[in-house]
Amino acid sequence: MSQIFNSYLLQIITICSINIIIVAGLNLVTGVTGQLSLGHAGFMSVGAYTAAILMMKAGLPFFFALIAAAASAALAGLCLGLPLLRLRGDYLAIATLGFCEIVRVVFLYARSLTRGAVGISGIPYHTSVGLTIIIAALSLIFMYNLENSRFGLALKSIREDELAAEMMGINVIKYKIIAFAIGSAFAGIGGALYACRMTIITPADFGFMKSIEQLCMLVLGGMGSLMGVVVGVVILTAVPELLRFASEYRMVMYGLVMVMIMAYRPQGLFGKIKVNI
Amino acid sequence: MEIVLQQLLNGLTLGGIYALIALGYTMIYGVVKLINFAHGDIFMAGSFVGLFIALKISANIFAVMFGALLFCAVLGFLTERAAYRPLRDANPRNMIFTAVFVLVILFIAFLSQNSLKTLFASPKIWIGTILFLAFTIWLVATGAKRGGRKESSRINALISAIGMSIVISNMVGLIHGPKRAAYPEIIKFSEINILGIGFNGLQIFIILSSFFLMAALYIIVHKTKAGTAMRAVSQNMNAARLMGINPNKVVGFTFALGSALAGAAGVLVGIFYTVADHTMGGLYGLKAFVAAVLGGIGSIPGAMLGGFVLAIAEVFGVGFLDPQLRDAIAFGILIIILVARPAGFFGSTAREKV
Repeated sequence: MSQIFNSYLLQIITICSINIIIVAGLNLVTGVTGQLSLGHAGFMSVGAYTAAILMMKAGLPFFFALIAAAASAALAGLCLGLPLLRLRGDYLAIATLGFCEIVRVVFLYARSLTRGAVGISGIPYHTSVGLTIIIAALSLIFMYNLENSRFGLALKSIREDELAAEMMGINVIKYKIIAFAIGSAFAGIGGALYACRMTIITPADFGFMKSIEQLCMLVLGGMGSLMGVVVGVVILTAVPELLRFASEYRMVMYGLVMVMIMAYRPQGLFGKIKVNI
Repeated sequence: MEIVLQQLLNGLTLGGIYALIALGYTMIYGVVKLINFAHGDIFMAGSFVGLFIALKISANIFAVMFGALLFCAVLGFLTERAAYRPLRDANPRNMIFTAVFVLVILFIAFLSQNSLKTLFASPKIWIGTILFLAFTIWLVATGAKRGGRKESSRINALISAIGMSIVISNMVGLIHGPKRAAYPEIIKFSEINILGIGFNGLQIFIILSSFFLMAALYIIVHKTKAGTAMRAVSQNMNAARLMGINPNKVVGFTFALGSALAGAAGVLVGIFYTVADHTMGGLYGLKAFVAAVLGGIGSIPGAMLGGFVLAIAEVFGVGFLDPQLRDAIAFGILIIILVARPAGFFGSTAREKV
């Protein structure tokens, strides 16, 4: 009995770690740079499919597949960022959402490579609890250092006031695109780990709701705060597991929590700063 | 030739529906500069209310339509009160309204799965309720202490809207059950012959009703006092306030009006496709939003034109390219428009909104 419980607990910890990696990437884009992205799951799916295809078809070892997943997601972020990051606020959010849907349709359509709606199954299982925790910790350390570097300060200044940042000599577009690419790379790593944990991925796993779930974790914890990222992910991953008896109300609860947090505490549980768009 | 005309008719039918939903998006954006993500789900709720009326009360098309319009207007108004007004105006009355709304929703969600008796019997429910209330009180207390904000940023409103959208679609899912619902045949039409080509009468009916509703909207916005106030608020909220207009009332009215149109669209979709599904709000909502952006968000004629253009492009894409590309076409158009001309057809730097 305790064995089963332990493995169940370990599963939850693994999912938490994977989500932390992904939401840390979203935090860099939305929390630190202030660019609302509703298509983070799209980058996650790019990473997941890259890793799965490389490991299954080309027989690449897990570690290289992970790096390739990060690189391909970053490339996708770069390609999307170049035309779209001139848009602001609502328009950017909608454009990223559209991108996420297009990626899903492309994976659905490219049947020879992705087997369409059936998805890729039999992906080798590589994620242990230790590995995911280490990668999550490393990404948090990386993000912490990045936020407090010169680069991170530039990103924060873009969030506070884009025009003022430009006047200070910051190349706004360039910084936004780099931040977007880094955030996407983290989503790609998370996606690859997700693929290796689930051993089966379908395009439906990476829909709009997945992006919303990630955004909800970030918002609950507090945008722009790494502590908030960890707390938000742990709460929204663990609480539904603990509240299995209320599973049918889970999504309603999600929505109500989002509305209430925004009404009463828009900075989230841990956020210190207000994001202005 | 006949295929092209038939596809054009399909496009116009779908376009009328998109345009009706897009009008709500564009009016609400014009007044409060907010993308109302819950709009698609209000449309879905309208479809289900129409279904309920048709099955339980009366299968008369006017009764069904009127019921859905009324219900969606109330739902849109409540959504605005509970999810958006506290972000614009943080006075205690609005905060309390939100808390009451959340509790009522939870109560309804519980009653949809259990009988009233179990509500008082189960200790889990008591513990859950107490924990939730404690969480709410803690949020209100600490939020008020640290906050002191007068107005919130737009990203917050957007997230609140997404939350509301999740709530509405899952509440309908809870109450009705996750299965699809079959729509009864409310209104019958025979094939209509025009120039020797047979057209589906139902499609003509849908196109005509959407045109009728759009004309009604035009009259409300341009010929009535409330419509004038709406246009004033969309141009400049503060100046409108100085002219003696109460912006909160106007915003509530706009939400009610836009949501009523979405409810009508919901009934039309139900009649046409004879099926209603609690997750359909998302996709229709997004497509209608693309239509609103295509026409220039904030512009009423733009939303109408955008709806028809998008639907015709989609129908022809499906008919002549590949049915699987349906969604990709709509979102591809969205990204191209956003990159090339974010203001859409009718938007300009000094555009008249609403």
